[in-house]
Amino acid sequence: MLIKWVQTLGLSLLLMVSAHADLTIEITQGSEGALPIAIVPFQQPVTGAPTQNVDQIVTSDLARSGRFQPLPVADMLSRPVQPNQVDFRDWRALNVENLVIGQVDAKGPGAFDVSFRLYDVYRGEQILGYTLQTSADELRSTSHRIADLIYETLTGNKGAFDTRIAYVTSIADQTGKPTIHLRVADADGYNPSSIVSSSDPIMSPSWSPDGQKIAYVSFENGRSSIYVQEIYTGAREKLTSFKGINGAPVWSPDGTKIALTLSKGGNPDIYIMDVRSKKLTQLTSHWAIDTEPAWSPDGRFIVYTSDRGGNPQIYRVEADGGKAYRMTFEGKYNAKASYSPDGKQLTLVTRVGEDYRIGLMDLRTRDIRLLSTGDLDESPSFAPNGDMIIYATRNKNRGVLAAVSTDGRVEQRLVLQAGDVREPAWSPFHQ
Amino acid sequence: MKLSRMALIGLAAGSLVFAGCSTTGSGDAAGGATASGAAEGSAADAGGASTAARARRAGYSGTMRLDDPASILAVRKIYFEFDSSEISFDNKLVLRAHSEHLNANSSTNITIEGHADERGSREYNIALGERRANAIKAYMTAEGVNPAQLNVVSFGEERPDLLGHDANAWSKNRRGVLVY
Amino acid sequence: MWELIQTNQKALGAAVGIHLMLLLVMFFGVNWTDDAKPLPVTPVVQATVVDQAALDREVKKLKAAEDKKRKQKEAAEKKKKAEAKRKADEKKRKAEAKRKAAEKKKQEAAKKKRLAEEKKKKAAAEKKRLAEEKKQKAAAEKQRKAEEAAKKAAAEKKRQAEEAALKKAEAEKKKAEAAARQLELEAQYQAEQDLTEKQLIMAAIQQKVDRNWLRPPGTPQNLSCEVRVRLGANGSVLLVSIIKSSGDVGFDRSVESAVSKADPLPMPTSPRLVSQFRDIRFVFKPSS
Repeated sequence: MLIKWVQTLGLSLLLMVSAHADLTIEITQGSEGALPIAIVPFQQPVTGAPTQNVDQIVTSDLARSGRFQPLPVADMLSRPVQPNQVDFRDWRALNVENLVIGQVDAKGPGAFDVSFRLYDVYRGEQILGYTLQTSADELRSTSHRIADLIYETLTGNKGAFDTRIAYVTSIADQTGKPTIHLRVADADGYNPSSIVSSSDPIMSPSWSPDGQKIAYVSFENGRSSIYVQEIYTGAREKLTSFKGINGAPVWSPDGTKIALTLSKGGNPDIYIMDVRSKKLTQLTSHWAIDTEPAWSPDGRFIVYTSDRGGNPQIYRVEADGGKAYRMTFEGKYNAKASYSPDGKQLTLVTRVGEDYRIGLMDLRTRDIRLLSTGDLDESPSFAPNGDMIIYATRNKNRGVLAAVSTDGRVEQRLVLQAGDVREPAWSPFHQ
Repeated sequence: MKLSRMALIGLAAGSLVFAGCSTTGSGDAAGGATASGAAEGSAADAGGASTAARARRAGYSGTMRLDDPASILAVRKIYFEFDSSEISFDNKLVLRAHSEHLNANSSTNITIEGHADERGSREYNIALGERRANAIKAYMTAEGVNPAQLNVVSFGEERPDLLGHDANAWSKNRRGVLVY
Repeated sequence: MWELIQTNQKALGAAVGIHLMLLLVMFFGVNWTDDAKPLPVTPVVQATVVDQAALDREVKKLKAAEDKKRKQKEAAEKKKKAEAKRKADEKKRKAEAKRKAAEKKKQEAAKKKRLAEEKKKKAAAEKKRLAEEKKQKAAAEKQRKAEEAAKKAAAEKKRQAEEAALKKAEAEKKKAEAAARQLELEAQYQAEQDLTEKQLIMAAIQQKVDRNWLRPPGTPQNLSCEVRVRLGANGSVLLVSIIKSSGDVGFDRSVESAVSKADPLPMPTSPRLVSQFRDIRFVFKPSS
């Protein structure tokens, strides 16, 4: 390693004084695809091995992102644990570009040290190496953090594996009576826990920017109300319960306001509520339906769904009021838009023929690219790094969640427990 | 088929909705639904007179009982076209009967539920359901019902009547429901 | 009258003499002064009865005449003296003039002689000078001619030498040209060979790197990355350094990996070309 480094330094110095290369070769073809990577099973402690398998969690995270193509363990020619056991030729022979090795060491009851190293196989260099202290409860989260570190090192984008999702699921009991749950789980669908359950509908979860609270709609008294609930304490507050619709709450990026839909004025319009003072400001006022507001990342704009033009389309208005500006013209049904974290794109539900699919609209060109292939896809939500979108789709008459890379190449269903699952909302980054 | 009598009536009413709309030739989704709905409707007709036929024949009479399954007042579901809140002629007859009943029983309050099929986004469907419920309320108010007797709530697509994901289920789920 | 003359023969003679003299003077005396004017002719004495008074008058008259005659005589004398003096002066003057003339003549002769001598001398000198000059000229001419001849000879010699050199040079040049043409042809052939090989190797490298380039999914079309690759003589990848990043970590990594994965790169067999392939710049730019 050191020798290699010294060689590299020497060569760098040589190159600095040598003349410019006069031979230029253009490479324009190549191919696009996920990066082949091998995550060797981590060595487990002899006694007290954790139930969670770090390497498998990392492997499935990276695979789900669409950016990586992990080598099946069965195909591996060797299974190194220590750096001196790595023979890069084994991995080059398998066309693997990056290699991850590691081990889990027991450090007392329920405590573990997880060490891992990331290698560039063709350059024969270690490019990352960490030891993380964790516990049995936190092991999944630690594994996601490892995936995040690998992801960020190799793609340059922050990983969003160690984040969470909120979603609504309907689970029927033996008699067929459904119970609706608002659940929070890891971004890969594991570790779900209900934060509120009801025999009446629950809708439209929205994360506070600090990731501590969720606003949602509940019909628990036979009518809609908007609640804000602290995830970890369960404490909740009823925000609105006006006559008619109380819907579509969504937190402003700075967390001080919530945009929502109320029909107390006779038809659904967008309002903005100051979270602390509870003061309401009406943002839109139109006889048509105005709903599903979403903030731009800078908080300047709100996009929403309106059928004022005859069918639902996306409109935009400045968050402090003004004229509505129509943003979508393609097709007869565009709804439930939300901004990408960089503010350059909108994801939305768009109707294509008889199918409802997830679209990605470039705000500069206004072109809508389809990301999903289902017939009843809905509720798209950007990962906080903008690289993936989670949405609800149908699998054999059951609602499930799927994640798609924003290039549309990799679409993967999330492993979730029973129930008809819908309305996913991706959390902000871990804070 | 585990359909209750009530559901059968509902289906029958639905078939009428489709019969009404098929003449306007609208809705691709409705096209598929028309066939199956009509089939169900025919089955219902075979068992007796259709809801509309009953409505036309009988209309509302003060002696009608709310809990009489043969009464037009047993028809509580009003079906709609896709992305529409327009009330068909046959359903107007149903609503007229209910309006007369409410006018005769001014202490009776009902809740009008608005529903949508599962297609499209959920909050938009909440709004759509409310629009349907409001259309029913407006019709009944025009028939003389005191608005105070009419509560409106929309459940959007959250409470489907039929747990299916086809045109038939959708046509049954795009509905307004009068809840006594 | 005659009588009177006789009676006054002396007077007559005097008168005649005077007259003669006058005539002479008149004849000769060109340069006489005023008093040499011809006197008016005195009338001859008339013999008349004389009384005393008349004698007295006569005597007086005679006396006056006498006086007059004396005076005339004196005047004549004086005149004669003056004349003599004049004549002497004249003579003297003439002599002087004559002397002067002689002297002048003498002087002139001397001068003439001197001039002649001078002239003669001068002529001699001139002649001598001319002779000298001629002599010098002749000598100079002779020298010049000699020099010219020498020069001419040298020039000729030089020209001949030059001509010979030129001929030699031309011959050499022709030879060199022929050799150069030969070399050029060989070089051209070699260059063609090299170019063909170079292009073949470049294409082979391009294909190998292209095959090994796996971009991240969804890479935007406008990204590009430039790397400099240092190769060993056998084509082994020694160093890959990014000289112009795409700004996208994943894209840059895919570029570095493409080169690393293509290791070793194809190398030319010609040693001349190998050096060109030791240092290559790659521009990675996906085209749709």
